[in-house]
Amino acid sequence: MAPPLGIKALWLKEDWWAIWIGLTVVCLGIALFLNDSTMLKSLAVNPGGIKWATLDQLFDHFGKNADKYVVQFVVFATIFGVTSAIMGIKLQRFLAGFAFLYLLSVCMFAVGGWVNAAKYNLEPPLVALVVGLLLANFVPLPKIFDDAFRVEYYVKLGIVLLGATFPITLVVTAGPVAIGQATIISLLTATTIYFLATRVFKLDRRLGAVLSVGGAVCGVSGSMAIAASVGAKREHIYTSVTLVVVWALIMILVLPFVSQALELPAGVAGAWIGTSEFADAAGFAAASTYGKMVGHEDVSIKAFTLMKVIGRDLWIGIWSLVWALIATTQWEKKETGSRPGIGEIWHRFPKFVIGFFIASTIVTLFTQGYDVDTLKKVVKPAVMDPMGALRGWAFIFCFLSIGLTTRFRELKAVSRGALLAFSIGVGVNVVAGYILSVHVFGAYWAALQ
Amino acid sequence: MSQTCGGCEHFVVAADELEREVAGLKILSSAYGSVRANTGLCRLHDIFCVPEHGCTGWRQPPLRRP
Repeated sequence: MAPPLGIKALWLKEDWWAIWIGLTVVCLGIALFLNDSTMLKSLAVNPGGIKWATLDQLFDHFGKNADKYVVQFVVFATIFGVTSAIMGIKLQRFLAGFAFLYLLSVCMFAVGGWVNAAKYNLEPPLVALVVGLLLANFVPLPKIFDDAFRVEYYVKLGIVLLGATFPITLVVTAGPVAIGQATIISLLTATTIYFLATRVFKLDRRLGAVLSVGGAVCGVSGSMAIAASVGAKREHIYTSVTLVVVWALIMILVLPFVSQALELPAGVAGAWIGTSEFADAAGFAAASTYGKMVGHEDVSIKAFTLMKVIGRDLWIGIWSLVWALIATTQWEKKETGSRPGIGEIWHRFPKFVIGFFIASTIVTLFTQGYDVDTLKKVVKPAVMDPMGALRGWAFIFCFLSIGLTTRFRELKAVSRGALLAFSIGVGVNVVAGYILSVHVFGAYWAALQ
Repeated sequence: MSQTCGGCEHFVVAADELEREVAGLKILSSAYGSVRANTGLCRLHDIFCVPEHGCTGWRQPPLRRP
């Protein structure tokens, strides 16, 4: 239905920029390592791992690394500022907000680096979310800052960088289970919400459609992907925004603690969060929080990524095509319009996932030439760890931005029927996700390293 | 100019403008993402559509001064 933007998408869509930046970092990181340079390590500096006990220790760290932080800020601001400007965001506005976001992020890492942070559940993703929410709702921040709070851009770049620490062999072996589980969840949740919305609560079927895909696949992005296919109204997307945001925030705050109470292994909890959360950014916040709680952040993030990014996000284009077919063949004829084609799956495909696969393949091939000992003692600390730290920066920008963009007073009211249909769908999603992650495929997710 | 949504005054497709039109869109989503493709908002009917759509309410955008 929707033809592609053509070659312009390569510089007008943040998915492609996430790929260009992420893959440049990966290739540059390998090249620097091969030339005995420690530049990547310097660029990834953060106070998250210093385990400071007194403020003197913290300030000592900043004093010793001040030059690195200055370079880091300049590099980050240049990369995000210039690419955002190319996409159409005014550079001065972006830089003003980004300077604020960067300083806040340094503070979040500093909190996470406190020796007692874990004792008080001060996990950086949760702290970032809560601080962002408090600032957005109780402090009158300048509106121009908003242009730098780009939740999706940061999380997409983080996902591409995540590929660098994710063996492609794991994607190949674990992919089928993740896709199988995601398929069950996607179909079950979408049909539940659509049936309840249209048959039980008698809502507009266009609203039922956008809510069903929002709940089953990818939140507001899923709803937007099919909005044109079904001719959704603006108020339908408002309803999706309100319900997705409220439920996504509730689950970020609840799922890690419920997983902890149930003593779920990190891989199992990551898969459960991946089947329960709709938005990638919110899900990463929850999975990262739980991973930090139990000391296996990499495992919970890997399980979440397999389940959500590889399993569920692939459904976006398929649902868009399905709804376009239903709307044009089963619903009333529109005034004009074009027949949906199979190309719809590609047009709506979340392209950043390609970057994840390529980064994973590059690093897997690069590490093939090293024995296990060299890999662990030399290559990992110099290549994979700094890339992981840069991913941490992208994610902390994202988690803060979730809070900073969520102004509850701006969310629109929703009807009782929409609230119930979506909420019951969320319940089905969470329960089915739990059964699949803990009981059906539990042994598999628990064994994830 | 073709009389489809893509060339209509009522059609909002630029990412920055769309994010301003649809409050909350950028909280956990984005108008700059691939999944939106070229979906835009028709201000006349308040519905989402793509540039190839069209209707009888089509209106030519005002000419821009050089």
